[in-house]
Amino acid sequence: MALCVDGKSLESVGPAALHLMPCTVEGNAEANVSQFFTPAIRQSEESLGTTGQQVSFRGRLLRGHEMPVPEGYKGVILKEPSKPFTEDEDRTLRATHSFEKFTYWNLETAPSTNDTIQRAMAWTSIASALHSPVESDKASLESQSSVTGCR
Amino acid sequence: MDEKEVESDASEAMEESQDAAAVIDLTEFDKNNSNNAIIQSKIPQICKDEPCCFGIDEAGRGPVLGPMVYGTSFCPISWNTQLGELGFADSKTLNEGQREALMKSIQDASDYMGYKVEILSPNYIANSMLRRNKHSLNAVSMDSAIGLLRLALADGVQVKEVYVDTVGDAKKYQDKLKGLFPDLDITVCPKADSKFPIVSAASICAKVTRDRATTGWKFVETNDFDKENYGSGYPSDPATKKWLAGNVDPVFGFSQFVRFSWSTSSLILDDHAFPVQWEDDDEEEEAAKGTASLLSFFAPKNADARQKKHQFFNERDLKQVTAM
Repeated sequence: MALCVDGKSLESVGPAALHLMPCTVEGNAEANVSQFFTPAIRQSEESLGTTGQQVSFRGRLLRGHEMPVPEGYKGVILKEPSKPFTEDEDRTLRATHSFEKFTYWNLETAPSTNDTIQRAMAWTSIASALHSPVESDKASLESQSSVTGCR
Repeated sequence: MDEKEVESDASEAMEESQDAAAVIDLTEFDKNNSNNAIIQSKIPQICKDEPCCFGIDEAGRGPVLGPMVYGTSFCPISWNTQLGELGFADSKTLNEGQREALMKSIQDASDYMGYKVEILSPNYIANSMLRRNKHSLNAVSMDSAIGLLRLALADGVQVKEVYVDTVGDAKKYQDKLKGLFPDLDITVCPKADSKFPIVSAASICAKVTRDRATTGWKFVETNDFDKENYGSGYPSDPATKKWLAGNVDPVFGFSQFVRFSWSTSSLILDDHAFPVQWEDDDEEEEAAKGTASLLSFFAPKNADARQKKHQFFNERDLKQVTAM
């Protein structure tokens, strides 16, 4: 079985406004975000000069922060238009939307660099540093000489 | 007092008396009715010069819709008798027309009487009551009363006697206020609005403001639902019940006009909207459970250590996806 992403769909998708909520809504339906949620978003008063936002969901206070997708990456929302009948069948995902930024919301606490999502996004740059090949001979020479120095 | 000020006050009073209705400027509140707003009169000079009495009362505690309003009014103690003659009584025993007329006479008495009103938005009420560290409606009320009294003192009103109407524990409330304001004579009692004219005046300011803010509610939601026939907002009002039942969104629940922290509204959502799980939902249950069972310390450590992710990834909620 192979899992594929329809390449054509990736090119033609339009941008989506995305909100990462600090709760689980136990239902699957279209949400009336632009009419119920977006108009109620306010700039937080207490965080002067920052992009703090606040809103309520089901009567609870949320504080939010807009995050860009890490550099060199692109956000895509994928859907599987038809579920496979058997386990052996190939599966195809189609992109429905793309995004370059999203807003994540904390329950009551002000967003900070300690938030899981902000820390998770930093992984991409750490990963590229870890996994990129050591480029020049100079670096390996340096490390060798430092090892010799230790002796 | 300088003459100019007297003149301008007199001409304003003339203008106002031509216009029959009291003017309550809700512009600030309407701009952002997710938050609270304070509406206040000018402070009469005499209230800065002479010892004053200060009345505090609330309106709209019970409704499931719209704001709760805290009202305060003040005047020199020496004017108290004239106040009685204006015909103040508990705002609940008066009809809308009488309340409007009395609000007008409070505004017309601007040379010796002032008022400060705080509109507590339904969104603020819900946010407070549903907070991680729950803030009860009584605590919300007390904060508002204390804030308004502090504001009056900061504005130079010579407050000497304070009268507060309360539905809660009068003794506890009084002790708290006395602790915060040891120099003031403070009386907290139920039905203060029928005993002290200055509290009646405060209750009228509160009730008229509550009614105006509720009737002309500016909905922040832009979708097309019934934004008019919501009735009085009291849970017992059939129009309010019908409106609530007919205007549920399965995801968002209700408009911000609704107090989500009321059982009237949460019961409707239990039946007609998707359930929502929050990260702090089980905090209360866990606290009730107390300490872990002794047996749990002897239980085998689950999962193979090799399969465990490094703490770095756990802390960031990062997982490898190998299947869907």
